[in-house]
Amino acid sequence: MAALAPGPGKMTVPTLQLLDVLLAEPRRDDWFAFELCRRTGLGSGTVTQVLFRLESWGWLESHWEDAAHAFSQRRPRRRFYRLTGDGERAAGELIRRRFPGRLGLEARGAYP
Amino acid sequence: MNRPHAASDLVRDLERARDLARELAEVRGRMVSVSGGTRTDPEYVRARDLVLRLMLDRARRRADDLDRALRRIFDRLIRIGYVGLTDDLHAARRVVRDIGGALAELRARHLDIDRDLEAAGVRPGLRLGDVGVVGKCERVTELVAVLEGARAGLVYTGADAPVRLRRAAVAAGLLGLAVRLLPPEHRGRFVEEHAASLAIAECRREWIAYLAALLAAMPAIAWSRRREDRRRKGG
Repeated sequence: MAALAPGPGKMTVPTLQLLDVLLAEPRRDDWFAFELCRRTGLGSGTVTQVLFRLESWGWLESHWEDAAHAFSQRRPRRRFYRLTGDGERAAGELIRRRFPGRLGLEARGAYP
Repeated sequence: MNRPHAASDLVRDLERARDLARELAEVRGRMVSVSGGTRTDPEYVRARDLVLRLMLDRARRRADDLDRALRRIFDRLIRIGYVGLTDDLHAARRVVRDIGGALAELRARHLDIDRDLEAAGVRPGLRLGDVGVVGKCERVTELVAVLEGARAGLVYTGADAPVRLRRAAVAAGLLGLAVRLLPPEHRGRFVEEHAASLAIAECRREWIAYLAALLAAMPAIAWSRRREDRRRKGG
């Protein structure tokens, strides 16, 4: 992973990619690791690392899906992630400042 | 992969491990009683040390038995692929919690017990520091993580259930082994989260790609978890 510049911690290109995806739907509270891999084209190990890092910065929160709901769909419960208010503000500002015009690229299909 | 009564055998093994943990706790508790008192006449001290040596040997044997029992439980979980555990899983989890409780109590009392033995003038070789309780506590934490993975693999029904169950069993087995790199408190969540992700892979290629990338990244993931834990603890 190539580091771009110092942030609250290690700010990498995959971190920015993931943030861009999350910022495309900032109110969404049911992102999960596999879907983020598909949306960004990043590997599961990278996404896991980035999610952990963002959660430890307080930019993301996570919670378990309701087990009864998951069971009714005959699948294991998922770990859901959502941007926190601080995370949304900080990530938005970061991407706007460093990459003007980039915000929302994912929503327009810029990533695989 | 599966064989009849495998789940009952697992619960029986777990109960055996729990009983060993409790017995180990009792032996150690009795060692403190034996070492009590302030008598220092050589004959008393010799007799006391002899009794303590016998009790420590017994504690070591029980600790070894417990270690073997826990290893057998892991092997059995992986061999049976977690299939057929549906009815017994709750019982298994309950017993694992009991083992964890017994070992946590042992660990909490560990220093107190050795301090008491030291205060009573018991020689270092007859104290309890080397029966490896801490390692066994961690093994029980791993066991909880593996059982979380097992639970994630148990909800499949329907036409494609055999394929999904088989994949879930393989994934839970591999994740259960890989998470041993992680600090114990992260293991349960990690296995369950990624077992759930793997459950929605649409094809074999996607499933393999996800699992392989995750396993390849495990050393880096483990390193970052440990670093973050150290930072939080101010280390």
